[in-house]
Amino acid sequence: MKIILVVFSLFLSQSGFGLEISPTAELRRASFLLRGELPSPEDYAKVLNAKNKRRAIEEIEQAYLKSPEYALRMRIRIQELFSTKQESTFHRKELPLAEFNQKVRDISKSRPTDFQINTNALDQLFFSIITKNLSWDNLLISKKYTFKVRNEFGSFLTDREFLNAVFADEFASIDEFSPSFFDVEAKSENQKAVLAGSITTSRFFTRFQTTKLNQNRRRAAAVFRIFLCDNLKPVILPSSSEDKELLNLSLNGNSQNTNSMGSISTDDRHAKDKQCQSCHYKLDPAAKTFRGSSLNLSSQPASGALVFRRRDGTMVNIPVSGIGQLAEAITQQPEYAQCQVKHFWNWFVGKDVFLEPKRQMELVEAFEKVGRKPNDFLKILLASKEFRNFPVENRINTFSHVEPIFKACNSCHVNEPKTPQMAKYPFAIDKNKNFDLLESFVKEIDLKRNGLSRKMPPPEAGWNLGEDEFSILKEWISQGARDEDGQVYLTQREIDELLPKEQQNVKLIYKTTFDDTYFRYLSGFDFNTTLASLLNSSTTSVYAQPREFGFKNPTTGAPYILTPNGATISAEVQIINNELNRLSSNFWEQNFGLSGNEFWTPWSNLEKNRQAEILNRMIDFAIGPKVLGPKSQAQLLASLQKGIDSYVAKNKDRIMQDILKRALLLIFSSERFQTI
Amino acid sequence: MLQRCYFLKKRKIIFHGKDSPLTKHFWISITILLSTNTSWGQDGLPTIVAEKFPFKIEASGDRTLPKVVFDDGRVAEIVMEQEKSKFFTEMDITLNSCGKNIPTQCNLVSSYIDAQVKLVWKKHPNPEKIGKPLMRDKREVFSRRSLLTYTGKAKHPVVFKDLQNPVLTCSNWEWLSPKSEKIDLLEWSTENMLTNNETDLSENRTSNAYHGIALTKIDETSYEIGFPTSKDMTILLFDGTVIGWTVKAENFESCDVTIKPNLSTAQTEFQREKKYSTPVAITDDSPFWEQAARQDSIFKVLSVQLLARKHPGLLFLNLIELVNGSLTDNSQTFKISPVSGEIE
Repeated sequence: MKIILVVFSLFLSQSGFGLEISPTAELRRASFLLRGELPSPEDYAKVLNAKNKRRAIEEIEQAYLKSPEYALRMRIRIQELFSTKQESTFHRKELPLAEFNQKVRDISKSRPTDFQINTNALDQLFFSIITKNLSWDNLLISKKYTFKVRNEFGSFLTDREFLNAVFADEFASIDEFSPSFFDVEAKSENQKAVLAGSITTSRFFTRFQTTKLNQNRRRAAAVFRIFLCDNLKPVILPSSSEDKELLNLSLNGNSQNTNSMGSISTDDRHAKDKQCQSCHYKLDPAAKTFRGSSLNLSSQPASGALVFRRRDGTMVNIPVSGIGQLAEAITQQPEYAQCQVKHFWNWFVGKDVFLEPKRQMELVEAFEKVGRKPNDFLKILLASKEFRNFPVENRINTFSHVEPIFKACNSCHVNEPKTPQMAKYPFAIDKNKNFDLLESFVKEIDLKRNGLSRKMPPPEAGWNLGEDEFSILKEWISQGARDEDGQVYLTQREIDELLPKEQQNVKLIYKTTFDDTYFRYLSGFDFNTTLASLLNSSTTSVYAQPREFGFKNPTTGAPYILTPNGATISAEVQIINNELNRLSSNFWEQNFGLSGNEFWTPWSNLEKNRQAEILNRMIDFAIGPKVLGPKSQAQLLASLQKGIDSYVAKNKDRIMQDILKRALLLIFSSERFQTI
Repeated sequence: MLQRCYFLKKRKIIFHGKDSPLTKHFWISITILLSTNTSWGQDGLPTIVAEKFPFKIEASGDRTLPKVVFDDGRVAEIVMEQEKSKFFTEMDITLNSCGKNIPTQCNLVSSYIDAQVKLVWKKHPNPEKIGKPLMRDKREVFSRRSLLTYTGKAKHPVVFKDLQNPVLTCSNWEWLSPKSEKIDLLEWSTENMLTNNETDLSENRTSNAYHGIALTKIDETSYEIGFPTSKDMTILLFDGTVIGWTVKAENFESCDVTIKPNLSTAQTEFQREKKYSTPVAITDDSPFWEQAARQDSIFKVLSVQLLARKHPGLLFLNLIELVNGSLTDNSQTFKISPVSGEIE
């Protein structure tokens, strides 16, 4: 069968960026993001018939926020945030596709607390925060743990073993073979000082290993990344040759080996080298609180400190005793609340939609107002204009948009007298001087060639700016390198000197992706379950496109299966085709309002208006009633008509059912169906 | 660096080999299973009678080992023989943030018991068999040799009652600069290259860690290593190629020491002795290693009786080896055949 794929990327640029999406489109988006399912026909009807559509949507969303499907999806999001493995018992690497999807479906029908895979304290904590709508701070400061004595996840240590030194008395009479969950809560001050929610669980310690050489820095770095959005990258700095060897060993991924480190003292190096200190000044004091807890948690709090430099240059330095105190100090920082708000933004609005600092502060205020409760905050976010609107196409980039990139540069070079302060813009008050510094920066990172011949970050450092970061820098420079207030700092002549004409004003196109972005493909099993529900298929018979929600490699962050290729799409369409063949005439008549006579009439004998009416019904059926705007609906309709006409021209004897089947296939293949 | 490990007594050292870092140390559990009716003996103690088989197990009291009594009058006893010995391991202090960072070589003196558990004839028509182990044929002897080291002392105080704690002797202690006669370790850890369950990547990592170990001064060059009283974990001091200490200081402060023991000789020895050397325990049937480590129950006859009641079937001494956290049959099951006359 020849597969006809309809590409609707054009729609994205023509369908009203910056415009509010329809109420049913909003409901569809919320339903998929919260539950991974289509709204029910009743939910659609409720919104369509409501006088106050906003209120109707909010009521439905409230019900979604209480569903087990929502808890399951939030847990996957948090697992991704923590870079832990997702559901080892059924992740894609280990099971055939059909079995995998069946398992996911079975599990999504269960109550979250029933999941056998959630026997460990970390997942239990994730679930309790979401299902009970507890303060998000519990991720860091909870002192209560629930787990089965024998975790089934397969962590290196069970939580009972991991927490044994801290809860020696509480565990003394524990039944080693009890199938029930075990609850334990810190009572003494000592227990409270060493316990810190998610980061003092066996899974967290197993995920972020340590050695005597690493000195718990990997754990501290994870804490900075997850809770302060400070993504410290392990960098091998160009220095003397002997140090290179050592740093390779100490910082490069999984090769850390205390045994092979030779005689060079890392403490010496980290203490003396300014570039090392630019990150280690904050990493090491936090890491110290993990001392004595290499594998399992020590009952003795270790001293340390929360140290970091604020955006305005002021230094935070809070001495603490124990991981628990470190965690509490973190939750009291404004950067923590800003970071957590950003996580929610990335998940539900999209990380490619810029969160303006002013808007971020508004959301932080809202986050605080609801007591940092995730579900309450989500209600606010789902009602926000950003969730209900397409992103603005022609945005103006200010320094705020590129600041994270310069901040990363600054984090290593902050103490170098010859390097300009890059956390603030303009880099120099004098515009000519500012241009010189920008020019130097453009050359250093080799902006024109996306870092191919860069000097910074050093090629041997093991990381480079991403394609999206190069793009946004180019866009910012093309628009005159504006400061935070929008003031332009470059003339056109200067822009031309920094960037060739062909690289200027290249519009960033919001692409459908598999990541947490504004426009998203349905995941594999979302696609699967959506088709199953639309076609009344048995869940095992529908093939799932290998596009996953979640299920990323916890080490690299990459999805286990990437963009579908021609072969997978062909296979998918073939399976859908088989499902469509199975449908009786009743299906077509009932769903698309066909009369008995029409069903046996050749397609070309129907009036054009009648054809359009039927096809529009099919669009509403598959994508949702009034989900598409009139323009998008018309374009999709035109594409369908064109495709069907072409098919009919080659297959004149085809009956109505065959034509309708083809039309539905085309809708399923469209980006409009597959994205939210 | 001169690094080697040598033994006063050359054989029977249990060490944790490079190939299975987590539990190179392995436990053997002996499970006694039999078809049974429980009756009560003349002394009021329970006696377990095998219905179909020509023997019974007699439990004569707490903390004594059970007897196997055959219908034809032969009697075999479980006997445990012990011999104490020591071995030395050279250790280099490679890195530390506690005292002077100077190359230092130390010796760890470890005591151990070479123990043998076996079924021997107590009564037999052939006088030459008395005191000899039960045997079906030349390949199958109902005995097991074990090496019991201090590593399980806290957990098994009966077995290790007379075993001296290990002693660390160094030419000087400036590397640690101890301020008192007792040095508290926040942690004693070991490192190995292992697969991370969360990422499926192999990485160097802490493989074992113990809290509450303390060093107590014996003289100017030696400190005795004392273990916590917790019975929850068997302590494997050498399970890795690198040992790390986190030494407790004042005001929640601490410092770190990295020690490199030379285990190559010991590992070779371990590999050679592995199939003959086994710590011994009587456990119930649950296939979990924590239970397998209940060595003291070897002296508790009642637990044997409970097992017997739970498991109708053949009487056999079943040796189960634990490798990497999962139980596997080590294919050395000792089985006392129900057919009379097979056992000599």
